[in-house]
Amino acid sequence: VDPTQLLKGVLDLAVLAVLRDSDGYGYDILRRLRAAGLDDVGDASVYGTLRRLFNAGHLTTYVVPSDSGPHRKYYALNATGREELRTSGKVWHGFASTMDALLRERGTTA
Amino acid sequence: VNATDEIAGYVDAVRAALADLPDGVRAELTDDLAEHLGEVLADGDGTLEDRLGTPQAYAAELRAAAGVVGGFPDPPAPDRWARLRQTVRTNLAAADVRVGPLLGYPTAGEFLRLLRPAWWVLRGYLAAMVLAAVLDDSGQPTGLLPRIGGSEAVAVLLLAACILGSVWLGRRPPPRAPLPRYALHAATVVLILVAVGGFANADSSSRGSAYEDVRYDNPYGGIQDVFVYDAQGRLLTGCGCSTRTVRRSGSATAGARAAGSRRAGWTPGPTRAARRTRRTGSRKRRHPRCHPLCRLCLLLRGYHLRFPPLR
Repeated sequence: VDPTQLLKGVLDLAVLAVLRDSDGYGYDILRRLRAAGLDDVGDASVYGTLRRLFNAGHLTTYVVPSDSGPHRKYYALNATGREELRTSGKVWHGFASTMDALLRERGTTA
Repeated sequence: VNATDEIAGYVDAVRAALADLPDGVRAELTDDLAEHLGEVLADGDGTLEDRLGTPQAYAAELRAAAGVVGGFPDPPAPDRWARLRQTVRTNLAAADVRVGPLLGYPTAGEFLRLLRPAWWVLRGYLAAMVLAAVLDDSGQPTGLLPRIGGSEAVAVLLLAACILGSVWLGRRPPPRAPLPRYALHAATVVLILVAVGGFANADSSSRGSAYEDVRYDNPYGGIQDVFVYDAQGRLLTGCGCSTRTVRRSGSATAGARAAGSRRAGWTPGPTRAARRTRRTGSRKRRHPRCHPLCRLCLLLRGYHLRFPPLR
């Protein structure tokens, strides 16, 4: 199984998840994802995902001036974003537990 | 390289790698890419390429993440031939609608479709002619029927078979596979060429046949004074194969004198006859139905040259 392929399907969910507790700007979100263990995620993927989620109306943005360096564009979950996170999270849990059960039955759990 | 230039170069390269996307989609993906890359640069060390990879790789990842389908080759642009074909088709359609009412139909095509069975029959005939030309090795002229070895029975059989086959072919739906379709078109073109060639041939031979046997360069063309005598040795004056005039009291001498006009020749013509009438004042006689190509005269001329009459 190629982790990057798996990541494609759940990157939206991952980005929404790391934005649940605190807003963040693009590179900050990438760092959080990597810190959480998603080492393979790339900057372009996160940036593209943020653009898509913003266009889908799940995110709001605001700009924070910075003393040392450029302004930063922060992304924040709005109501639909939170709803999306909830439903998508359910789907993921259902899928993950199905896969877990499947692998356990066949005795292939590590 | 300062940061702004580096970012601008990177963004330009990413945009170039996304050039196949519609402008709107590409703009949406890359509009604030420069600001984002500015944040990335400010948050760490190293060039953009070191940290993010090549712009091309970045563009590919961006494309995938944004869920944009792309990277397919562009659909072939309509070339000159396609445009020409389109123009011809449009003009034909316009002509179709314009000519139709003249024929009493909504479109000319509708009228022509009624003629389809006629074309099937003609196609069968042409195919039979081609088949006969291919199969016939007798060397005889085939004429207008598909004779093989000069046989009419074979011709009729072949004609019937080909017409039936052509009608059967016409009533079937046209072939869909490209090979049979092109074969049919090619065969149609060949048949039309054969038809045009055959028609031109038949036309010229039917025009030329009436005069074909006439010899204008007859071997006696240089001979002018020839007298025609009957079996009893009398000078024939009735045969107007020339405008030569003979006195009514004609005898051999009269004929000879009349023939004194050396240039009388064999040329008929009312003007010349009329002129001579005025000059001599004598009564002229001329065969009423004699024609410049009068075969009888030519025959008689030849006969009497070979067997001069007894004096």
